[in-house]
Amino acid sequence: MKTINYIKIFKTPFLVFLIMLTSACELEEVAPFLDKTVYENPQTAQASAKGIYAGLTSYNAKERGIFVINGFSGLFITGKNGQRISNPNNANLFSLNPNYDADSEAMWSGYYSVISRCNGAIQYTTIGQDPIFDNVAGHAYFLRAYSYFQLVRLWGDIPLWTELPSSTNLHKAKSSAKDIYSQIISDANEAANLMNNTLGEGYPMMFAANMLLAKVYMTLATNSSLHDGSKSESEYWQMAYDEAIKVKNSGNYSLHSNYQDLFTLSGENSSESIFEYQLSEQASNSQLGRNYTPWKYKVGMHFGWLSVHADVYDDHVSTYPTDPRIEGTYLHYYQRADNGADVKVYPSTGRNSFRASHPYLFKFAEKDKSHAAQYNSQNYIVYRYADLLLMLAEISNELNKDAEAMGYIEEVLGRVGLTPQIAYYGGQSSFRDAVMKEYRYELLGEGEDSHNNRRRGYTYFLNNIILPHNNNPNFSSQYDLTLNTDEARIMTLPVPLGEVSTNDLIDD
Amino acid sequence: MRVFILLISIFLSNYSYSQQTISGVVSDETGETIPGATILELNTNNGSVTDINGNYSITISSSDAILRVSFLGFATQEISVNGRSVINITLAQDLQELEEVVVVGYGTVRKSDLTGAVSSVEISENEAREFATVDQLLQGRAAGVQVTQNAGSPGSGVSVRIRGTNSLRGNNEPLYVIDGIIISSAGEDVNPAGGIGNSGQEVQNGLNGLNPRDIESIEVLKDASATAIYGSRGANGVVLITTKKGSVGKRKINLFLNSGVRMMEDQRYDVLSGVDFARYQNEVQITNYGRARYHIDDGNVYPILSDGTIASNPAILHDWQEEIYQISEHYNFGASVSGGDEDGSYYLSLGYTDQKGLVENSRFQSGDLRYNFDKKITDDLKVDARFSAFYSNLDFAESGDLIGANQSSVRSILSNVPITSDDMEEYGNALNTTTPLGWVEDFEDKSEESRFIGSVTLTYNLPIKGLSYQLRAGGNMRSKERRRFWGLNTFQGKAGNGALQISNLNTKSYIINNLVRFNRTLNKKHRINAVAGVTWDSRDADTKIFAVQDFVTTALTIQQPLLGQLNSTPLTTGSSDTRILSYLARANYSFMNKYVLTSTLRVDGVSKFSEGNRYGYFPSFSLAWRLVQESFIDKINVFDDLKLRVGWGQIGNHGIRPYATLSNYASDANNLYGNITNGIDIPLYLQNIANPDLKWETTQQINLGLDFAFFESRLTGSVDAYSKITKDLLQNVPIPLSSGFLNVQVNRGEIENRGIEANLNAIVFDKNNLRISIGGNIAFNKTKLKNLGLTPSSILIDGQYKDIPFYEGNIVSRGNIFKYAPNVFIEGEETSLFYGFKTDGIYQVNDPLPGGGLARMYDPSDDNPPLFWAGDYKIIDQNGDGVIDLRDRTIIGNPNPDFVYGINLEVNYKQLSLRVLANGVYGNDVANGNLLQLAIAEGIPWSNITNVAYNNAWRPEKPSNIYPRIGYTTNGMIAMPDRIIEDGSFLRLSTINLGYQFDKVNLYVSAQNLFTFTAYSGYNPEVTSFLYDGLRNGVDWNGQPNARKFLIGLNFNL
Repeated sequence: MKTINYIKIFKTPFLVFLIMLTSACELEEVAPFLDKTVYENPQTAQASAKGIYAGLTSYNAKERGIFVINGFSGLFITGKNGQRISNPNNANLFSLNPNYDADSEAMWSGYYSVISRCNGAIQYTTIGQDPIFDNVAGHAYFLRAYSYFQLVRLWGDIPLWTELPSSTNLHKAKSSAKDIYSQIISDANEAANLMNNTLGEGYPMMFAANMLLAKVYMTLATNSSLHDGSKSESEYWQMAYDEAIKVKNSGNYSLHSNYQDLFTLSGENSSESIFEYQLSEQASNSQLGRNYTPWKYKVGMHFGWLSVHADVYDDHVSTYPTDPRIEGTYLHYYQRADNGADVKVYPSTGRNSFRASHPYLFKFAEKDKSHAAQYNSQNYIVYRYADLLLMLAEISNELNKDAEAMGYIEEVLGRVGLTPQIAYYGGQSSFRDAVMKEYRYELLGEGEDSHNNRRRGYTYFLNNIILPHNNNPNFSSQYDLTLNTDEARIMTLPVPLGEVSTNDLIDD
Repeated sequence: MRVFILLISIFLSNYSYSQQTISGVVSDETGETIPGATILELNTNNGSVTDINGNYSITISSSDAILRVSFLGFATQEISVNGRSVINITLAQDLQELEEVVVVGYGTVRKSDLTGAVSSVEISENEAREFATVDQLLQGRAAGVQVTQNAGSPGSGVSVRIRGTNSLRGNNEPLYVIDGIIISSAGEDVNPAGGIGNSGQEVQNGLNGLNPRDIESIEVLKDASATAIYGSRGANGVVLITTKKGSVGKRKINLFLNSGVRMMEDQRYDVLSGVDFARYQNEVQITNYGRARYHIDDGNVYPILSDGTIASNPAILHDWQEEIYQISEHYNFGASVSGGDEDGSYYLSLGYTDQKGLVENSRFQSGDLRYNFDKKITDDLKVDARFSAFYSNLDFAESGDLIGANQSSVRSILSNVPITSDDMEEYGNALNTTTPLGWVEDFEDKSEESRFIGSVTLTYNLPIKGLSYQLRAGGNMRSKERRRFWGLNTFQGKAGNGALQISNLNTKSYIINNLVRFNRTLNKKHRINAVAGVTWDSRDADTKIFAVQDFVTTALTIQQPLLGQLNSTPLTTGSSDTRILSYLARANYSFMNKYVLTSTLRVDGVSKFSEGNRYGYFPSFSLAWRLVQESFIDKINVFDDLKLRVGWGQIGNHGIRPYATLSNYASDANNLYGNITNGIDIPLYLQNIANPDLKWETTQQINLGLDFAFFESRLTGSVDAYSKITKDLLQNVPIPLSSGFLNVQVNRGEIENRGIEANLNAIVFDKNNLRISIGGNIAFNKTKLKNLGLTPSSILIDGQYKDIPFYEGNIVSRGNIFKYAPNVFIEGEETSLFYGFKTDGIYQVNDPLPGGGLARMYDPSDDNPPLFWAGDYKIIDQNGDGVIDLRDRTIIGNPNPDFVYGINLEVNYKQLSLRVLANGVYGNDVANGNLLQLAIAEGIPWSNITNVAYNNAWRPEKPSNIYPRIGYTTNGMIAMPDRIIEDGSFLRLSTINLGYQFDKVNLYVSAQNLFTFTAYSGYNPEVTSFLYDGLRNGVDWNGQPNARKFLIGLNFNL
């Protein structure tokens, strides 16, 4: 009988089987960078800090953020979604009648994305050993404070994340605005302690955190519901002063000689800049020049999404008729980039169509008329020294340091060859109103209008912004927005739909 | 061997006495001659074999000898010579021997021994040639298999669902296995290289290169007992494809050629003509601003300029649908040659296809080559090798961009202003729209793709009867480059001064299967068919994206990225690697041909999961009882076949991307930062929330089936009922935006599918050369979300607020229109229900408003505008709280069909044959997002609308209760109104094929998509715009029209 050699028969499959078994170890996955390892290496830790800044320049946080903040200030009108008074943006956000809208949701999402990047850096960076890591953590604290400050001023009570979410920790109820401000103060103080200049040029110094703190204290000073019980309004003004003066006294900043130049490539990263987004065509991180360049002002695509209310322009001109800032801020008469034909809008032409009834905001426009691309390079200055000086003027006025206050105003106006308008000399209250308007003349559209307009409460907003607009003598119901006056609607935005519908702990 | 026998027989014949020579031809029942058949004289050593033409000659010992004629696969015959000298012999196929064998996972079984739910898809050669990919031809041909597309254009994405939705992940595609090689590319495409504005890239077919022409058989494995052998990849069903082999006998040559035309189906949107659009705009402008925008005179339209003058030249009026969609031609030809002998066979084929789309710059061209051969190396060792190569060139321009307002090509065709004039530039608006011609003349979406699939299988018969060892090594390489270019006449190109995106995908996968098989019948009672083995499966997918903008010149379109001065997406690569180690076993045991038991087990280890969750176990058991073999059934004498099947199994799914258990930091081309020299800083950032606890999604399925045949098998069919529950659903769920992320991968919830499916085939007439057979299949499936794993929250169902766990799906658009999730997932309900506002007609003047007050006429200067004006949608304030908010949303539709069905008819009369196939879906709703603008007279100057929306718009003097007032908008609406929910039921006459057989030539004419019976108002009720997204279902968002095809073909069999 034939003997079957089983070993021989099964040798091959058995061997292959063994190979298969031993190759099982290859089932382990390896990803290039993981959370813990990123923050152990100075290079990758710094790259992650830059990742936070990249988050701030995302379309959601920046372009849409600018649209929302300006749209909700009561000073602007838009042709986005239709050159008509009734387009959804004008009918809702721009009329201070906010609804759920895509832009504010995108802004919310963009800033929370930045916050999560900050939380990762704060969670995994070891501080106290290496200035590079300290700086990474410092920037993370600063940008977390900045992001929450951007959000809390628009939405009030919001979810407070100070750690990275995990698959089992995704829902957060709203924290009170008061708690959000406490976190901002704590973060900004951490930032001021930890930030150094190891990230290189173009990134803010620690004084940006001081300026942020000054803004926070100014906001708290005039909102008693946000006060820490033990502190008075004047104490907050004092704290604001203390922080703001640190920035001034640091000696790092001065006014850039040419106001208009601030909004061009040559004015980037000037001595006036305290916190500036580094935008570049190569990084494809800015479409400001597409969204906010007036119609046909440049060869490439242009949306011209922000126009300034005609009465806001008129007020500026009537206050400072010769102000060179007018030319840097508004655009109403220019030649088309494609055929050289004139384009005129108010006040260069009569108010005979929707689009022609308001001057454009010029600051974010691409200044190179031959620019054909989608992305552009002009930086966006978040905080600048002129703002700090105006803040110091406002604070000093509240602290009855009259001469000092006037000095700051003179410094700001001196750059553009002007002297303080008469209202500055009418006592504390008159000075206050004048400086609140001065923010607008100096900084219109740059990101603080919405907050400055509301910072002093509903009544101030109503009487100084809303009613003067609604009741201005040149008001035309065909071309001008009627701003809402309902306190319940105009002070904060509704929590975005995308948050409400996904967050188990937030119902509205 | 044959030669040897022949020699012996010749040798022996020389020594015979009373010799007599018999000759003749051996052929089969169809008249084909059989070479190599053996003819022996019984009880002698005389023998012969037939020659290549089937002729034989044998010398026999006496005139009353008996000849035994045999050939593999045919019943052996014994024939008395009875003094004849010429005997032509017809051999009948041996049904016992050749009983139909069905391909199952890792092997074959006799059809009678099948215990699971398996549908064989039968398709004629001529029909197969009309399809570019295999997924399309499954439509309507098997019960429980639903096929949808994202577009009607050549090369568009196709989705196949078997027995409902198993998972809430995006991709519910079945597993495709070609000749044992697993193809995991269904639903896969290159990554988008960074969109411009609100744009999105439509997916293309991931199964290009799986050429239907070379397919011998397709088996669709549906229940767990059939698919569990594929373990972690079996949950969505398995489509097993076997390609053709040469057959023993005469060499066969086939040549085919078909050609025809494609055109749009009848379904289209009835939008305003140029003159009517001018009237519409004038009405809007006069109402709002007191002046007209156009001057209409004698059918001509003249723009009125801003200074009030009338342009001197009339504007050009357009019917964009008519201008853009064209009739296009297509053709297809190829050849194959095959043959073989007892030692082996070969099959070689090649083909070429050229198909143009509905728009001028859309085209699909492909060429393919296949070579299959098998050979006996020794008596015990056999090699089987299969190779295919495929190359295609696709211009997908017809589909354009998916998302966005007028930024998608379809939307642009539908809603672009039907008037163009140089004088109109001053109306340039915020969107800077361009005409739809931009999408034809100035847009390209070119893909070049190649795929190679190959396998070599060695089968060695071990020295135990029935035992063999099989080693199969095979691979699948797919390489694709997609280049999308937008010229200056498109929105995107205008934005970027020309834009080019280049995306690459390279996937390489290989498998090594080591299998031991045992296949033997013992004592004529016990039949065992078993397989066990180890497999290793490795798959690497490498992606590249790159995009440039700001072109020096756009003349070279996709050809030269260097002309783009701005790298908007620097070259970025990505890779994802998956490895699977598996152990598998299956035993099929049949007792007395009556009772059949199948049991399988697969153990899969997958690299995607962390160590503790890496291995999954997937067992199955099934039983079949062949009642027809029982005497008590036999006595009834009714059934020709009757088999009861019952099975249970557990299968899995790991269809998530790799690395989801880790928190990955990465750089991203769309997430860069500038520096002080206006250069780039490359940042790193956290891309996902890690979920280390991710594990298998597992599906348990029970199936009960009955196969039957009556009336001499003229009526056959089967009925299956099943229930399956998928647990630990792998989901990429939307999470609160405040987390900083948009979604997270989790295992959460349970989903149940229950259904009944049936197919019936009947030969209703078969006499006098006329044979009519008719068949049909129908499948009812209900998907229920058993458990969502969420805390309950309040939702309005049937007029009552209930505390039930639920969540919303993904939003449709990033713009302000349709920026909400259309689908809601509610525990205890069907999946993906439509969620939004119920309406009750239109507000009429003085209708009470929610929260008090009466509806009044629209007045833009109203200081205190009401919630709604007269002429607005009357959204029902469900909770009566006086405001319309998210709490007023409720279920407004159901995208899940009640049933899907297919009908086929086949008529053969002499040389004439007719095949008709229809397929349909019944009872589903479609959310037609296009109506959000097309069906509303919004009044915006750059957007066309439908005739009814304008003509029947609510006006104070002619109040409508259906169409809202002029100026009403859904822009910014927070939830979907029920007004866009439509019945998506349809019945489509998908194929008619009429052929005539002239000797060796078959001539046929065919029509595809000849009629669609539907009440749906959009282009195509069968379209799902978001194919592989489980959280956006049943939505038509810029869906493409479907194409109707006519063709004529010739098929030569030489």
